[in-house]
Amino acid sequence: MAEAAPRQEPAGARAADREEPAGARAADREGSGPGGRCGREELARAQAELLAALVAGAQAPPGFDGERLRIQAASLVAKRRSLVARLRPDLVQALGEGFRAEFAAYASGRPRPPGGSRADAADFAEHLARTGRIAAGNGIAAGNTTAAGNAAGNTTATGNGTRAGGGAVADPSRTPGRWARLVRWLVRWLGGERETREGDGR
Amino acid sequence: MSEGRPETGERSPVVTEGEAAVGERLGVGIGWRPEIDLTVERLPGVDFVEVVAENVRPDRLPESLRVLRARSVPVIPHGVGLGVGGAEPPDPGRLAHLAACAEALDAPLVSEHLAFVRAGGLEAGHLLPVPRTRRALAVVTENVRRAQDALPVPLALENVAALFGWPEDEMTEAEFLGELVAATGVGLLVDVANLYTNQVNLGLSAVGALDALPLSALAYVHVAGGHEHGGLWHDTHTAHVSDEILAVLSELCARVDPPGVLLEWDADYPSDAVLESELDRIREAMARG
Repeated sequence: MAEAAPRQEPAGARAADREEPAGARAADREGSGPGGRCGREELARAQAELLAALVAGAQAPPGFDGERLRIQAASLVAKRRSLVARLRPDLVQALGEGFRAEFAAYASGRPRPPGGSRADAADFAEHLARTGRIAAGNGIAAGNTTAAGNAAGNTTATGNGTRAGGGAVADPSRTPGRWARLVRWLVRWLGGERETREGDGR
Repeated sequence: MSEGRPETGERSPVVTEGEAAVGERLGVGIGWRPEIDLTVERLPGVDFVEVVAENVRPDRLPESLRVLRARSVPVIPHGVGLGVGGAEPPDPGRLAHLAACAEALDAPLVSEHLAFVRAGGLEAGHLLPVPRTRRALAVVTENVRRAQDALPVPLALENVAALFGWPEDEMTEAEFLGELVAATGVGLLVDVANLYTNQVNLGLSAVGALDALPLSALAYVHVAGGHEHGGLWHDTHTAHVSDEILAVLSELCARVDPPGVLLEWDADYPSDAVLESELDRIREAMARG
């Protein structure tokens, strides 16, 4: 996973010396050329206002269909929930039917923390412990055994072949015993060959 | 199905190194995911795969991808976190990661999305539509150029599925992508499930979008299943591909011979047999076009 690197050049630092689309030329005439500060600042403001409404409980910017933004916001929470569920099947098991509602209560108006789904999962566990939904030690202990949680998350019940776990019926030629597979998986995980689960192809 | 339909090449993209993305024959493929790595390796008729770039380390490629590469199966790094439609120039660290993935995998191209994924210090965790205005186009055009300059292989951009539009939109997504292709030579990754999603959710004709997109710049195609909920289509990548989405694929194939078509399935994985049959359905839909 590529962590955010420090910006190496300011917005619009590089001159655009190739042919510009008509829109870019129009923007130039307005003193806000392509990638120029005005264009970028305007876009930044618009996108930030919208995103705050979608993930941080801010008011919807004018002109948008409020109902659609509400649906989009719920969809973003659902996507976060599914990623956290994959990382922490122990929490799914502990909360059972309540997992969905508990995650919604946690995520509503609370943006995903920096650090992606792993940080989101850790914060959710901490939130559950703090609010007494799970035993205090449970969230912390489980958070410290992420490898175990991931191993469980990598199993599949559908008989797909996986190299990293599960897939007991997958491929006899490549599927060693259960413990050997777990050991192999842990070695690979500790070696950095781990799934960061930052997102899917969507 | 659409014999005699006029060609869509009204716009002829500027010839740049980006043009090399087009014409690379890929065939039919599936999104490689760690949960189905052995499945992907042994599925018959997988000509190429795609890996979510943010989920791999180029210096420690998963064994399964190394196996596929040893068989000369092309592996395309597919980014989800660059946010080339954002207000900030694309992050040099993320671009370096995409470049390293492309080199480690000896990939023919890299793909990303016409979307923004963060703003004002917040992460969306999702691909959100860009306001399609002339002013935003100027910013995105420069972002794309910066990305192209940082990558050792051509870049292709994907259309996204949206649940909402911006009130100030001046262009359709197809027109916006057409302008980007003309200005930068960027390739197109056309997701027919996303076109269908926008048809259901926003009333935008998928076939109309196919007619407006510069398909001469097509690098490859995405196909995926989803769910209808409350009158809206959710592009979940967790379900059987609907006949309606396959019909959009056939329409695309009636207009252009796609270099590649790839099935995306991201969770709730079905049996290997079901995935194999989905690939067969894709081939049949292509043949109908």
